[in-house]
Amino acid sequence: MGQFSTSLLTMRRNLYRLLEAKRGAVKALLLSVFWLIACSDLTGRQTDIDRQETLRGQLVLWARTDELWTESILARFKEEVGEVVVEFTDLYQDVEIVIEFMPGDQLLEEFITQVNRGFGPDLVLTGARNILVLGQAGVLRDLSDHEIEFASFRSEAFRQVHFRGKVYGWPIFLHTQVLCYNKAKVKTLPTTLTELRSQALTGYSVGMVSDFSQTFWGTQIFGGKLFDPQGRVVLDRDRGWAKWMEWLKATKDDPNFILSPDAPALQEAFIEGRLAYIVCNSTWIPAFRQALGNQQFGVALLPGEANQPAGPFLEPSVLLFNRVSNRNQTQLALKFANFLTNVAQQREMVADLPAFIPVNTQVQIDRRLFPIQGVLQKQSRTGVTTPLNTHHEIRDFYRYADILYQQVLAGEMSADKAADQLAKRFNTELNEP
Amino acid sequence: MSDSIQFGYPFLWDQILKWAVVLQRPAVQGQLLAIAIAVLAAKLISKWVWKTFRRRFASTNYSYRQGQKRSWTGYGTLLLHLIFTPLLSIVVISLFKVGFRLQGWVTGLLLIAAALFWVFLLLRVCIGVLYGVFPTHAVNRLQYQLTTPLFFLFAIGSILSLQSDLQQLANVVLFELFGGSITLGDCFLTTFGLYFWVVSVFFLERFLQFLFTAGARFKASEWQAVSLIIRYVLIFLGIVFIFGYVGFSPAAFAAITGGLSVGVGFGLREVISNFVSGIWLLFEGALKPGDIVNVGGEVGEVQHLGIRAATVRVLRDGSEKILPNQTFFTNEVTTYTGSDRLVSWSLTVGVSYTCNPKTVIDLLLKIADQHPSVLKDPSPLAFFLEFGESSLNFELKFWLTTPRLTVGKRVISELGCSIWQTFADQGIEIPYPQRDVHIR
Repeated sequence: MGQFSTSLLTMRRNLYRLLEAKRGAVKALLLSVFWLIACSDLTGRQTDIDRQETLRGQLVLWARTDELWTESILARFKEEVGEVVVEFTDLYQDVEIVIEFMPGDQLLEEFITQVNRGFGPDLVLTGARNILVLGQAGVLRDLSDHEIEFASFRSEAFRQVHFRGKVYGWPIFLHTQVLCYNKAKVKTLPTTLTELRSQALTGYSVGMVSDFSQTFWGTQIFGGKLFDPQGRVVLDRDRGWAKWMEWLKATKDDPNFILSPDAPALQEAFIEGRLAYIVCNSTWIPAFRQALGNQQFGVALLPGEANQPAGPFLEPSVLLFNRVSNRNQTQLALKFANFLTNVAQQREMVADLPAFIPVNTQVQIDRRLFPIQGVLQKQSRTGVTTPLNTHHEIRDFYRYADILYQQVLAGEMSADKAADQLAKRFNTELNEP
Repeated sequence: MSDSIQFGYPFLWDQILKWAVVLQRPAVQGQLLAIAIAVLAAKLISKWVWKTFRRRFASTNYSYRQGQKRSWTGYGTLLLHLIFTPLLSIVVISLFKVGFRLQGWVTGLLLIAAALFWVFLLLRVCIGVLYGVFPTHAVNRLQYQLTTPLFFLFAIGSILSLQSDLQQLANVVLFELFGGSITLGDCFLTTFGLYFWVVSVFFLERFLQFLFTAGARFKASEWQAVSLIIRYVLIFLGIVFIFGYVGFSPAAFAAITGGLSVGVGFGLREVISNFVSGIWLLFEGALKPGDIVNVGGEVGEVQHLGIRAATVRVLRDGSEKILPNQTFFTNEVTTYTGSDRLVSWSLTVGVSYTCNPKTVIDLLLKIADQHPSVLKDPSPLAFFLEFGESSLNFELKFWLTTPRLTVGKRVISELGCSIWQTFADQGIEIPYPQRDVHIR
């Protein structure tokens, strides 16, 4: 009996040792497997597209969605991005792209957090204004070292991806504002502000989103500018913005002239035929066209004055590249960006979706076949760009400008004083080291 | 079968791709390597320190696996042993973080790893506190069956949520069943959720047992029967709640159970019979853990009363018998501890015909009274039995509180020794068998 229990004990001890050894081995094995997985891509082949023609790998793409968009605009945008990605992956069948749509108000913070972990998407499709914040946070890849042919790009677009001597983005499209109208309601298109106002007085309802950026387009009509070539704010010079604000103040109480910060409500009113005109962002156009149809929906240049065209902001949609992506992912991302800006693709996308102005100068648009796209391109020629190089706190600038704008509109401050304050504050910041 | 927006396999594949993408990045690989090194280093250093400590302070009672009363030094050592590895991991990860920052590399994952180790450390401290209050084996069980799996689940959830929306992941539809969609969340809830519920109920039962039996408000055996009922009721409620939450269709359930009822009736007849017997036994209270019973000619102590079977330790050899509950209904069972747990034992002794029987009876009662295990109430009894062939025979009858055979035999042995000694001192002869032979 004693011998039996001794041998049982020995067996038990040996079993424990075996289990202990096994556990160690399993741990080591798991670690090795994990490390192997981590070191290899999913297909097990690390590729270098410099040497190899076949593209392989996976990419994650975030596309920014705008809080001003209605559900239909959002759905159309998602559809279009999805189609482009499918076209690319059809061409390169070993490439997989995961698309995620991210609301604009979350994108910046989320991207910075993710990149600081080593995560985040390889590409972000967003507005060029985001470059400032992301560039300062150090989460964007500088594309200066990559040999990219930007010669065929529109200079306005290229200018807006430069920040402190580095290239932080790949422009894909330009956006601007135009005058959208309901053909069933409008007989004669207004070409000047005076005509627009008089039409409003005679019953043609006009909607305009009320904030600094959305209404800035009228400043140029009165000879005003936001920046000089050195990037200094010159809103206070020539009283251009002040005069425009005075016009807005005078018009906002006119019957049928609706100046509202509620963009979705205005979009809804236009779609339902309650507005004859709306100053619209080009990204809204596909949804409007879908809702009203080609017979009812029309696009025209924003009204100006004699020899003084409107100057809406001209903003590029850009692809931003993650700083922590590996070499293969960056190469794939660059290939994807290149694909989006080649002539054929830009032409096809512009034809499919009349919301974008191509950045590729070689893309010719037949205005008879594509009238909306033609108007957009023409409007973009008089658009105003925001160079990034000089702006330290561009987000704060627009936030502050919005506050002053509202104060002027409410009659609590004169437009001249607001322009002066804005210029002083921003230029002081600019002079700071 | 959730009502919220559901996702399909493409979404799941996208999540996998996202992880594949980030795992290919040097920035992530570097951090993971650093974390692995930190954990490995912490583990090795901790092991070395522990070995050195054990060698140097061999006398300290640091072992927490033996369930013995622990000194303050031992308790402190145990606590240190529990927190040393996570603490060291945090230190090494923090050092890596500083190094990474100096190099301008990203450190987000290192921060998350450190945060997770802080949580682990906190958990270890709580476990350490529990070791000071509850029995060691119970805390060990709590640690291995509940807190550690919960922590790992928490860690996995935290890691997954870095890139994926857990709510959306939970809504991924895996397959359709009876017109409803079974999502990843449903599967998770019906497996892990159920496991954690069952384990939690077990520990809740143990905790209540500790609370109620510590103050002697209930006897342990009584509590075991009550707690068993509570446990199964809670488990049943948990199952109902979980399947209700998942949205398992009652119609489908009825269809399944209806279809299976015949098969179940035949196949699991014995199991169900035992199950019902178990519930009946618990409610009737005829049998409790600790009872001494005679089943099939074997005397044993009921160790555990389960819902399907009872475990009986055979007193003769200490082996354990697992008896299906219906045995107690279909067989004749004798219980020695039905109304009380007192057990009587007796010892027979013979003395010479020359001795005074009255003196012998007095001596026997005195010896029994002096034994610590022999009960005073009921008091021991001594009887003159008969005029034997060679001796006057007496019986000493006494009661013990335990029905354990080993205890009874030990007491009889001790009493026998005392009787021999006392009789020798008093000159009372214990005769050999005598036979007078008359030759005619």
